[in-house]
Amino acid sequence: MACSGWCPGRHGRSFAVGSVFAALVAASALPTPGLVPAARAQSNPRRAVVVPPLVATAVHDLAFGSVLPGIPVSVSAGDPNHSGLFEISGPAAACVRVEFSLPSGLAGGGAPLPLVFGPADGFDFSHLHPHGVFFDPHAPLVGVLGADGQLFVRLGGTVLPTRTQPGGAYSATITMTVYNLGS
Amino acid sequence: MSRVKCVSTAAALVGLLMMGGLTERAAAQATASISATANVVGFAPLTAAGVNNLDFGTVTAGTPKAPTSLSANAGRFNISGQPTTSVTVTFTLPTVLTGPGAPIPVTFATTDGLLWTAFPTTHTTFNPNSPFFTTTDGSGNLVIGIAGTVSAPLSTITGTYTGTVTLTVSY
Repeated sequence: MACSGWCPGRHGRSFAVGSVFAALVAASALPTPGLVPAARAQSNPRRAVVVPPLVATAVHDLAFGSVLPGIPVSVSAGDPNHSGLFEISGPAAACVRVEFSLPSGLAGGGAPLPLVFGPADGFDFSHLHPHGVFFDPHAPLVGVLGADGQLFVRLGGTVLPTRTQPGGAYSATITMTVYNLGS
Repeated sequence: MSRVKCVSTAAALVGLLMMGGLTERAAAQATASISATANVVGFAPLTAAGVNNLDFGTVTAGTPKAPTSLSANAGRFNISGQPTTSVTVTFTLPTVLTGPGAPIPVTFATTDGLLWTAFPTTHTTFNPNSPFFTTTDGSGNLVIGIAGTVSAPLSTITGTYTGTVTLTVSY
């Protein structure tokens, strides 16, 4: 290690300083961010900051319910009962970028059931925006976690069944990816 | 407001990272997935729209008159519903047209119902006085027409006379 020539245990205070430096250098070279706080905490426990990890949770599905062939059905992003809901948690006031992988159709009984998302089919709310803000889920959303470290995101959409749409259950997967941009 | 600040911070972080000023990663990431679900049930609802009036044009008192052109002057309804599905078409037909004078009799013969297989070129006929059983096409469409004959008596007062033809379609 870089500090191997520092004579551990004999240089008293110098050992500690050298260890901090070495730990920081090692930490800066580590590709895994989760290891950074651990390295610092080990070298100076009194200054350790426990940062909650960024967690994305699927709370409930975007549910269109029963639809008739030929009749489009929309679910508003503001609909608390049928819109899809994600919860993001992490460090309070952290900036995050939220991206969605949006399917163009639901698979099921036969031909795909077309699914579209409009410019107001995203809805996010937190302590900072308790009444929520609509956004276009096609574009990345940059937001801030609330003081409680939470941000909720709802998704609406519209299914467009054709008149020849076969009956049956249809589904598709919507994936949300959240990036922590820091505080 | 906080979003603008956040974007600025993000841009600054990206810039620092590009300069090599930071060696630890600023962005952790997390993912989650939900499902979008729907259950397609039943038949496509039937809709019917009157798209052309049955227009007898100028009628001469004492001379029965039918539409001059079936494609242009016969009544026409566009129906849509479940593709390739049997439907029943029923007309409610007037017996007279009303206007400024005495009502003018209007009659519908057994061939005055029109099933347009390819509007405006091809049609078959049916009796509009009875329920008509037919089928929507592969796209769920159906075009139904109605002709008739108006017979203004010699004493008819000049003016515009009208009546209402109602089509009902059901699975």
